[in-house]
Amino acid sequence: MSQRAAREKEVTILDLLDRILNKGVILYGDITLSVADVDLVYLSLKVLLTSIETAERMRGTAAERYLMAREQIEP
Amino acid sequence: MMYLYALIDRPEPPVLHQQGLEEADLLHCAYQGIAAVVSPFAGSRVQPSEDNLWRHEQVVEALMVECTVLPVRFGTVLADRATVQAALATHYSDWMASLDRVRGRAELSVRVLWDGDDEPPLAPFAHDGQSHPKSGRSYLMARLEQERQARLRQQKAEKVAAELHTTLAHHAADSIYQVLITPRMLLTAAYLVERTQMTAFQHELEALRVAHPALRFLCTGPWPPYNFVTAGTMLKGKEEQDVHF
Amino acid sequence: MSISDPGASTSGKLLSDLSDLAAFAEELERTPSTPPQRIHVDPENVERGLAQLVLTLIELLRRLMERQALRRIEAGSLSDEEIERLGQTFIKLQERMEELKQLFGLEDKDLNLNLGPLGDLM
Repeated sequence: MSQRAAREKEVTILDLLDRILNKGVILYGDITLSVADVDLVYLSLKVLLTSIETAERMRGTAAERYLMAREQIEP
Repeated sequence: MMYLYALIDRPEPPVLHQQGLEEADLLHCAYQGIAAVVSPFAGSRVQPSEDNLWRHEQVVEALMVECTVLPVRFGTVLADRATVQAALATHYSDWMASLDRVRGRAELSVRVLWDGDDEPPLAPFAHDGQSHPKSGRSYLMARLEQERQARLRQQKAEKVAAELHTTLAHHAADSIYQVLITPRMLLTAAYLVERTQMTAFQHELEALRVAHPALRFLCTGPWPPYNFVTAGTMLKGKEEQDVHF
Repeated sequence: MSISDPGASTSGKLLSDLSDLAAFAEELERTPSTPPQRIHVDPENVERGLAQLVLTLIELLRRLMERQALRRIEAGSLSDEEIERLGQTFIKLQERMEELKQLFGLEDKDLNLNLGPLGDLM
């Protein structure tokens, strides 16, 4: 496939995705069994909320080690 | 389980030489004047693979050749025919109204890029440590100026985008648009255009391209009317800016 | 009545200029409505995934605080000394953020979250 044709395809796919994943008739709730990976968008928010608790519980992560080390260097 | 592609404005869909996802046969569930086009689907989740996405789109577009179509979002799976029937009964009047609104029309996507000296200014202080400021005050002043520039840029973008949009919207039955969803994407818009107005719309776009040599235009379509399936879009489309996609 | 053009073919959908396709492709990949960035929470990337989330929150707070300070400066409710001190703090914050981002191999574009209908966090 020529580069131009590949580019055309790429742009068209991206435009298609914009429509087909987010627009159109949207049914959800009890009536649907699944809505494909669009669910992961909502998962992001949920993960964000639970991650704060998780981060508090977890110990010895690299970030904590790093921050503790820095505190020792700088009073 | 039933994978749902679209709603059409007749109880019997046209005969299509088209398979659904996973090469399944297309079926339909009729309810009074409309029908849902579905195919049997095994498995728990629909993968948004390129093949599946295009297949979904192929089905919708094949239907659109023969009848009026409300495309359904990708990946919608219902339990069985009874559930599909129930959905049709519940949403019948809404969907009838939507079908009426899109009859004889298709969606065109327009995007416009601007660039060059309109690039947003860099952060006041480079991350690599250069131009390290000694003054906290100068940092905040630079931030203020950055904000001011961004505001001016936004205002300018809205003005130009509105002009472009208004011109194109004259040739559409309905439309929606957004300004600067990324720093370079001046305009992102969708237009519901009559079949008989497609050429006029194209000509108008060409005229805009000639009139704005610094801008870059992209038009794709015709698409099924994904952006115009709900009531209320009609109200917002022509009057308001800031309609969110 | 139907549109005869869309047809069953999924190619040939571009109605206009092909010369700027690269620019459009690049820009389209950045738009919020393309498939959302996944949070990296698979087991191999747990630390990086958590860092991504934590740093995103810190970045959000940093921006909010900075904006607060700018509003106060515009309103004239901060003394010169306060402005200087605040500015220095923000500079230090930005430097720390850079270090943390580098430590976890994160870039600016990693520090944002797409919240579906709520749009991007920042």
